[in-house]
Amino acid sequence: MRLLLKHLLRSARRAPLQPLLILLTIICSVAIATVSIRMPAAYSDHARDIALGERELGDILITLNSNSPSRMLFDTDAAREVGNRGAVLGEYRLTGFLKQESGTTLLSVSATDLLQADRYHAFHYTAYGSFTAENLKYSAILSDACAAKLGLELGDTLTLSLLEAECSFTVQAIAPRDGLLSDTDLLIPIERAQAVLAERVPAIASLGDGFRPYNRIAIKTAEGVSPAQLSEQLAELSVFSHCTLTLTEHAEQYSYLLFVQTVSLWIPVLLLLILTSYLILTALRLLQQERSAQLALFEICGAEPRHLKALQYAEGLLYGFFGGIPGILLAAPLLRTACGVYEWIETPLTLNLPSILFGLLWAPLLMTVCTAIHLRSRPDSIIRQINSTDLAQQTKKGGLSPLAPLTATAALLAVTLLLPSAFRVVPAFFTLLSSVLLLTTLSPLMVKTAARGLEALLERRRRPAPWLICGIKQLKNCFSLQHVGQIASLAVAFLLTVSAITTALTHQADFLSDAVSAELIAVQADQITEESLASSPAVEGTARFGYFPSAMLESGITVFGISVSSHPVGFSEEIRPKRLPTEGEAVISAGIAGLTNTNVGEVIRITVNQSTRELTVIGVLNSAFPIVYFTAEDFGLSNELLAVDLRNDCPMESPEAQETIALLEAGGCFLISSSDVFNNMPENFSDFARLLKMAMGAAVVVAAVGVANSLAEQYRRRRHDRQLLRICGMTEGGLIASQGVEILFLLLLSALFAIPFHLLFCWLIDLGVRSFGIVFLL
Amino acid sequence: MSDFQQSRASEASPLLVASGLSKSFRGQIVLANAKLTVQAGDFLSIMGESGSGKSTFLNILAGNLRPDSGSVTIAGQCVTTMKEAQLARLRRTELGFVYQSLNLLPTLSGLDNILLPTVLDHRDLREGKKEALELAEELRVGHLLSAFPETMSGGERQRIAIARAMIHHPKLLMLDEPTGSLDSRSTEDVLRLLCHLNETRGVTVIQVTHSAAAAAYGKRTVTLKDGEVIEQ
Repeated sequence: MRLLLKHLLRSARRAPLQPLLILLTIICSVAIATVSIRMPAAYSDHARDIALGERELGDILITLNSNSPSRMLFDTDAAREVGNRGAVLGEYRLTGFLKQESGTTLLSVSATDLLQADRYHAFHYTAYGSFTAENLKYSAILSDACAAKLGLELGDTLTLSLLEAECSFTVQAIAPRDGLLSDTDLLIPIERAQAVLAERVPAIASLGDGFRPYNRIAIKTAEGVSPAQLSEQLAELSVFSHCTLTLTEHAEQYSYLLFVQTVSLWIPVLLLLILTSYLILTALRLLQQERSAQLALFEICGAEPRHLKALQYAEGLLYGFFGGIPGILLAAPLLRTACGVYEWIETPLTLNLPSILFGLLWAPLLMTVCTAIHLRSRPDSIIRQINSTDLAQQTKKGGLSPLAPLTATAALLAVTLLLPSAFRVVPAFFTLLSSVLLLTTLSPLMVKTAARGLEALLERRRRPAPWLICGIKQLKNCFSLQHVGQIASLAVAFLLTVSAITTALTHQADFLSDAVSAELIAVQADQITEESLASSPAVEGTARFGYFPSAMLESGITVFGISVSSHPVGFSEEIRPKRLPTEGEAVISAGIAGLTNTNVGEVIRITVNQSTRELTVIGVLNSAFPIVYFTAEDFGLSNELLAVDLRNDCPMESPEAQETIALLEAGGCFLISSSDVFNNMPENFSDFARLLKMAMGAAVVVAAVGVANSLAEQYRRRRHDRQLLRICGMTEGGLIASQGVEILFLLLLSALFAIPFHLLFCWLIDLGVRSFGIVFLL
Repeated sequence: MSDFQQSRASEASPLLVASGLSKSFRGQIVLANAKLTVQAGDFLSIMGESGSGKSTFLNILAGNLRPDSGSVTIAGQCVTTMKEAQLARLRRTELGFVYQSLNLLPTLSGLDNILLPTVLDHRDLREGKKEALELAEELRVGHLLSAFPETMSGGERQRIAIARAMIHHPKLLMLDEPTGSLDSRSTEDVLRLLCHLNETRGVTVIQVTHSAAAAAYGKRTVTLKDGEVIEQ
């Protein structure tokens, strides 16, 4: 064995091209695998904030309706009614501006009773100062992600601008994120917020210590208490008659979305890893061809098949070990790049122990599996193979027959189409994998067939151009070239598919991001405020609307829902229906109409906040984004948001606009940007699209390496063939032209062949994601 | 003598003249002032010990290798100073070359291998195919035209290679150890074939061989020794 290993190392040193290319491919594969383990965890962590933050806050959330005469909620009311059936936490959410040297950051500030919040959430602090009775009023609690984002540490002072008042706080504790501590939230004592509010709203100044103003109350039910029942009981109380009680358990469906997002991150990664594995298999096959004479010598000297197999496994493991560490080192800058792209991901994107271990294990595992697959297709005796097919290595029809993947693809496709939409994702995924295999097995056949056709056409001519016909004949029969075609087809199909997905995602993200053109969106603006705004010289118009990010259709399809009052000023015309629905009506986008097979005049079933209604479709929007319009009243909800569209000649910095803002804030509502309302999912879409583009870039590099490797190996092995052609009278220029013909035709044919498969991949992905209610419109 | 032979032999000037050829590899002198004259219709065997420079000599004669000094003319054309394009043309028209092994392109069928010079010379393919069929029958490889080299025996491959070297009716056929890797029966087969081609078609044959028995098939033998050509 030592002798065999010595031979191995010397062979690699003598002819380093193939081994180096195998190593490079492994390094890329390890880097991709390591990043892919790290990213989804970080992505999910962030998505948790969006999707599950409220779920972690409590089982029931109480917020004020826009038509509520009071602008405040009191936790004492809730605590009195809830009793020992649960814990109550009040928070006053307002917007704060943090001024730092680097600039001003907009933050969501939650003012609450800090000690009560600690008891409510049982924070597991990562950094804890010392709370005293004196410093409590000036303390702030941050999430670790928020602290990292703002560059704050324990003991640092931060100055917040709250409702135009400057307030300083000291970071007294840092804790991991939860529903109350997201990546943009920080907790401040309610006493300070109360003091600021008191300057604006005299009524607050008169409140006693037992009455602290909140605009949201969270209730965590005790064990054994039904949140739904408690919610119903609380809703009947007069003290909550102008409130909305929301059960947060409906946010469980977001775990579905999280699962979708995590899985969907894995699909391009999986395809990329398949590509790298395929390249390694190709390289192993070429390497064996190169060493077949050496292996035959070992055999005639008495080496058993198991010795030779062990040798190849040992070589594979060596590649694995040598490729693991550089791959992980490559993953580090990739993750840093991802940090720059995904700056919203608060989890630091650095290598951690699990990802490093995974990367180190991935390389030898990958090589072992690839070697095993390669050895399965290789006969036990190299000598017999050489003697019987002497020059067959270059013309071998090797590889899998397309019959098996064709049958598998057809069968899986049939299963996919027969199943209801909600259950298609798994068979669609396997159909996708099977069709990838089909592509690789059909590609050489396609090249061969096309070359035969071209040859027949050329031979009809009496004097075909020598370089052309020589090139086509080579293409027809050369195994190595057909391998190149396989890689090229796979890469082109992958690139086209990923491009289609990113285009669809970006288009939908842009569409929704531009949905609202209004500069301001006010939450909890009452009627008085709204009427005051109407007469404001800076305001073009207002529109009260409701935004429901999870309106569920039949079969579990989740879409965005909007309810808009008449004359929706500040909404993009593209997203506005010509006629707004009234009660009992709905307007749906074309994608949803197709998905649910619903036409104008027909009924569609929609569920919002566990309330289901059957609405008559009165119109179909020509919208790229899956969206439904209905009235909030249909679901017992109200339009909580007010879009305020400023006049064109009144920009945000103008005195008139500032006056409008002051008017809104004085009315007790708080302002959010339209992006906060509409950008969650589009942001996710855009970020996912960026990730796909990164994967696309990686695929280009990996495929280019594979193609270059095969072509270089091909060129090297055909040295004698070139000499033969020379002695038959081919000129140097003719040789170059002939090889150029081979490569050009090969790449062109492969690219053309990839197109129908690209369409198939897009269709399958579309089928699969529709199971989760996502409409891609690829 | 056939008409072919007569017409070839009637040419007064020799077909190939090599003079003052010298070649060395890494300081090792392979050829030192070697010279050779070959008349049209001749069947010359070049012999020598292993490592004596026979193959190098043959490749220089064929224009596949440039000598350090000296010249080679074939049919009045100086091969050693020819440009690559001219050499390529010469190979398609006047010269046929056969190696000891690996003579055929593995990705082409027997027929396609034979037709290579025709294709490369941009000649009429249909005419070329007719000639290839006739030649293949003559060389008893007609049944191998649609086969690939991997399925042929050594002797069959050499006969296909000879057919390829003859398709364009060259004046000169050069073979480098054509029977070196063949069994005795195939060797005899190939050598008889060469004699047949020499006699019926009048093609001048120059073969390099280390076997006296193979050399005996030729009309004339020279030996390469110490870099010089010695007539026997």
